[in-house]
Amino acid sequence: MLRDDGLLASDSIRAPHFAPKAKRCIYLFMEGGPSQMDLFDPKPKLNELDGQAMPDSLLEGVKFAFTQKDTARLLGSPRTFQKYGQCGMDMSDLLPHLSRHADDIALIRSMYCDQFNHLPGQLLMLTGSPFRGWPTLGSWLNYGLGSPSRDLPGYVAMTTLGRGLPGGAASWSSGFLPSNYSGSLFRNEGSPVLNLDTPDSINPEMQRRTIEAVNDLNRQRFSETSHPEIASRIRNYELAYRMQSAAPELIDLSDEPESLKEAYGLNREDKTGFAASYARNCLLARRLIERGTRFVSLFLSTWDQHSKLDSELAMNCHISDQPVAALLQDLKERGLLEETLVVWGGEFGRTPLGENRSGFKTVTGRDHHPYSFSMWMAGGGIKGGQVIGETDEIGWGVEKDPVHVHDLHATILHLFGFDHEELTYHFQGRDFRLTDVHGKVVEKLLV
Amino acid sequence: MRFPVTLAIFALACSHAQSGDEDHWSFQPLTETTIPVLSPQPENPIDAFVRARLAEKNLAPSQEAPPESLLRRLHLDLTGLPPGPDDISDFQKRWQTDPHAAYTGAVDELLASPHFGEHWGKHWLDVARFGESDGYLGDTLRPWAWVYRDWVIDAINKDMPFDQFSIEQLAGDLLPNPTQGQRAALGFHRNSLKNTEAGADRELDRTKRVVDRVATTGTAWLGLTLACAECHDHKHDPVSQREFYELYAFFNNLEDTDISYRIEKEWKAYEEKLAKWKADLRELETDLEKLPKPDFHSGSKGETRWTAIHPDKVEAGGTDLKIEDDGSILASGKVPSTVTYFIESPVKEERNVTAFRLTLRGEFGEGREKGLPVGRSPSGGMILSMFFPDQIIDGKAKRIALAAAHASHDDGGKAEETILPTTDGWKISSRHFRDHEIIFELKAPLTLAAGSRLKFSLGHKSGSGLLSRHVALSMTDAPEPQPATPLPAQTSWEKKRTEIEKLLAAPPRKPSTKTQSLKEVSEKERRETHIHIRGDYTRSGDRVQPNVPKILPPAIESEAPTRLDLAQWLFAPENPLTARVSANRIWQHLFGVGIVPTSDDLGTYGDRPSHPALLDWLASEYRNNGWSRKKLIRRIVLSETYRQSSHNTQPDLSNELLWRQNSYRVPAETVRDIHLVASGLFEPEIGGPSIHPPLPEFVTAVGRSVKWPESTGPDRYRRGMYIFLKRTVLYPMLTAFDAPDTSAACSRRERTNTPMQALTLLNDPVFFECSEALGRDLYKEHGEDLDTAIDDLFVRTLGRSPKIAERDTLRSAHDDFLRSAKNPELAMIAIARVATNLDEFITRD
Repeated sequence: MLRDDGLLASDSIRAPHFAPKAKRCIYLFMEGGPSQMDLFDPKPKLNELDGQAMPDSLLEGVKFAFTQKDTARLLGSPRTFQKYGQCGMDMSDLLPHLSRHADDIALIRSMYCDQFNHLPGQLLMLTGSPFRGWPTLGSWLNYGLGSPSRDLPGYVAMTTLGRGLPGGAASWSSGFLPSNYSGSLFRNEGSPVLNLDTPDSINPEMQRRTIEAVNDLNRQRFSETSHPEIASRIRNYELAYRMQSAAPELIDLSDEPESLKEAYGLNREDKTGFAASYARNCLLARRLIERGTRFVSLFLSTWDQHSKLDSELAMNCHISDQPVAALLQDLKERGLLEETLVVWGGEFGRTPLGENRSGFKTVTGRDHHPYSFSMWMAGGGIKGGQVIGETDEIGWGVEKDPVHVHDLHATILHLFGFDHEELTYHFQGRDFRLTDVHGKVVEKLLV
Repeated sequence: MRFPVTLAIFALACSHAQSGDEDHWSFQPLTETTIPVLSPQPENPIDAFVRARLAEKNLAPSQEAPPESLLRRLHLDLTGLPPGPDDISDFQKRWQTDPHAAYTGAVDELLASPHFGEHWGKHWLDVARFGESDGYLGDTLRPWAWVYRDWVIDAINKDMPFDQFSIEQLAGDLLPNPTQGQRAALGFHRNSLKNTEAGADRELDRTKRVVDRVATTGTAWLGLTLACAECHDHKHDPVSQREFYELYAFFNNLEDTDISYRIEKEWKAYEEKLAKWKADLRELETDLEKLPKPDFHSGSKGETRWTAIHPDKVEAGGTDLKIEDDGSILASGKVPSTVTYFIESPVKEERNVTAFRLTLRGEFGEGREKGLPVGRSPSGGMILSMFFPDQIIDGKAKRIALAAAHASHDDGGKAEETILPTTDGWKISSRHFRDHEIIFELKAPLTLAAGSRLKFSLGHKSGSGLLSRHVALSMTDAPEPQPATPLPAQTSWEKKRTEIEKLLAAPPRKPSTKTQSLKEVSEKERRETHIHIRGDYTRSGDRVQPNVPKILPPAIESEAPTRLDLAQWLFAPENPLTARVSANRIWQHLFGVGIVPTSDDLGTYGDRPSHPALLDWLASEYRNNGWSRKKLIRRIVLSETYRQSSHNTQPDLSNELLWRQNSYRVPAETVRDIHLVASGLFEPEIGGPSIHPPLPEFVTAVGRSVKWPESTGPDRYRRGMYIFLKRTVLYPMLTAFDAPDTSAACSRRERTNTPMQALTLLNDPVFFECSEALGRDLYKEHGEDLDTAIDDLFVRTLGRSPKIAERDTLRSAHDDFLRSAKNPELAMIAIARVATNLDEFITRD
């Protein structure tokens, strides 16, 4: 057997500051910026004002990616909203599946940030900083808590790529934290990880013995040089070895009942294959956290509706609504939801204005909008069946209970048992934290 | 639509509001540095600076690393390649007699190695965000990008002074009578991403490219995040938005230009090929003259009498048909992919017909003249897919039914289908210069009435211009027309002539290498530069003129400064930043971390220098030595500070003050290179077009319609830096080891340590191939002598001898491998694979 010794102890489970409500997280990252007023935040007044100019007072000092301010007009939503659940939460007709879980989720309508371009916005949402080089939330949690999984990485990312991720691997990077807290990118079919298969001529016994010898020699080197990177290398070889059997088992869905696969929507066909791929990722997310993975992020990078909002939003909801609802249901039925935090959201929202970018013949979409947007969370100590915050009547700015990205992060860390001001890492002369110098726990979100 | 990664970063609002700090250390003039006085006084000023700081904390430097470590460190730092067994034994011998001379000798040899320019070139190419495709959706390839890459390697190998190296890259086109190299150097700013996607806003994309050029210039030479000032005054560095657009103005009137680039090696090879080609041609012609020329136009041999059909009307959509005096039809002009020839002929007197004959005419060339093959495709082939005859009586066409078709020769074997409406048919594949014929038998003999007309439809539907060139029609009334006679075997004249044709068709191609350069737009196309209000190019603010930021001296005197003025300003003696930034980066590549760790940002948000006086001394030294990269590197690697052991004897003590050398994983490309060198597979060729090592399809499938023409032969074993840098399909092994994504200037790479790296080293087919080659070599050389094999393995992979415990570990592993694999060669491969998976193998200690 492979040896566990003192070197590996540093990766064992660590205690947070206080008793946690959440132990695992599935982060459903909706890359591109979903349109809140078409999904979560009904704005009758906006529909009324459809086609009219925005009040100048609101436009002052505002920057858009593409919209030309002088001629921009408000764009109403063609969606119909209804109240769902005992709590009577408004949701759009595009979310027939999620709406059944209204009583499980806490919807935040008052999210805001200060980044109106994708990459900085995404980095802010993922790392608390719009600059490259900071650790992502999943890295912080693995750094703070360690990983209970012995066979799989504590942090896994999977993607359903539309146009690809602007940040690429920065979206699951450990930044300045030690690199073993980086997320690992998994594919959801075939061999989930590149180079997972041992070369043909090397039998399993030889592979095991190879890793044993490599780590023996690495240990000898470590005792001579004391370089911490060698300790990380040893851990990573152990993990790589275990992953070689655990990863194929993970993505082999033959032991899942057909009815469950159907509930997730694995059988759904569409031109792009995104619907089935996303469903598969959702099911794999559950399998991952069941096997001890601390943090799973699923990226769906198809949400940037500068044009064709109606049809593309319908397409995005077709891809994601059913699998996400099935995931909540599945977690609930297995008793996993209680300790699993599920987060849904993009990097920002979209404008109540139609996007009239130069070169656009007709206005059919919305531009990036950091001033207000919606996200939701469920499970893991979140008080479901409530709506946090309000936006103004056209959905431009936040009117009540604003929640900045830093506040969201502070709350998530709180759910995992951390005081966000105390979870720090010393780097280049100062203590860094996920929330930088900001952040306030949103008490209303907590059970 | 999406902004490129870099630009999105720069467009953001820098959220930390701070006032610009004009007193910030890096903007101050270089200090007149006094070398600290110590006892004993170190010979090398670098050691004096470092030891003085250590002494303040009561710290002592580490002892010198053992000679094998030093040699491996030097090789990896200077060339990015590990020392070979011969290098090691030579060095050890020299070390025994004179350690100092041995070390200095190795330094000088490595600085002179052509691989030095590759490794240090790669550092610069990271900063230059060098890539070989446009980077957006579509990701169009940049086939000549490598010419710039080679320019960098060459310039660094020649130790081109850093000021000249920089000025040529920023403004080589503005130098008097610029050489092609000076224009190739502008490839630096051709590395910006480019969005050619349909529907993209071209002007927006252009302005973003200008912003990228300002930003990259700022990072590369000034270590400043200038682009923060694109949308507003810089929040923490003293650069106003106006000043940003004054810099922008330097780059606002550039346009792409691809210019011919003469590479002597290519031309020499071409001229040699051309001379040989000419000589071969002459020889064949001489041979041909000695042979008798047969007659190829005698038509079918046999008794059947054929009457020529003289058309009076020919027509074809898309190509030109002409009736020759003998009634044959010559096609010329455009070569559409499908076309039908319509040929009509009057029937002057009543006559019987039992068969039609179509003759394809070919002409052999005389002497050096090219021949005229029967077909019009580029290779001289043709496919007749359809042959339909009609008789027209009183304006009404009536199809004449055919029973069979027989061809004199058929490369496709489907000549009979010419009478059917299919796309296959009679095929003459290429370069036939003899006449060919096909005979069509009628279903029943037919009497043609006088005054009626014949119409023939000759269909060509196969694409690629597979059209007949010169055809003639005839008919017979013979009751049983003879089928077409198969062509006789080629005569020796014909064979010779065919060889000449072949040679004529493929003359050596002139080198057509180009380089990507930039030039100023013409006078009438010049744009004015305005501030973009909040970074929005559609909102013009004040007009600005090219100028440099006021925080950095000296002011530029010229009324209308150019890029050349800007480039020269970077190297003005009063400008302290360029020297600090560039000296800091050289240090970084020799210690793993810069004196200012944030080597990309010396502004107020960057780190403070750990050794400010040393940095200024190095910066002055760099400038005073004539900006010689090699001299500064030499100075540093000869220091005792550099030569310290990297052993972390005090694990709790930070190494900011350099009480030891650093130890760190080698860059991604070097991870590949050391495998190749250790295995013996390494192909050391320098420069030229990039390579495409094998990749699994799912990797290349990420991008749209990605072509990845897999390299073969020795090309597969070239250095990692030559792997084609397609921005949407970065080579996964390089990415796994933190190669940058090339979208923005990168002056320091991340160094991660992940399970994916372990899987890559264990199982990547390229790395396994290396282990196999290494193991086989060892087995071939040492057979059953395991101890010697292990010694050799250690030298080839780690550059040192094994310790007793290490040897025991490998011996025991080898025993187990042998028991499991029952194959001594494979057991040797398996221990080679252990060695190439060690942390030490991919670490520069």
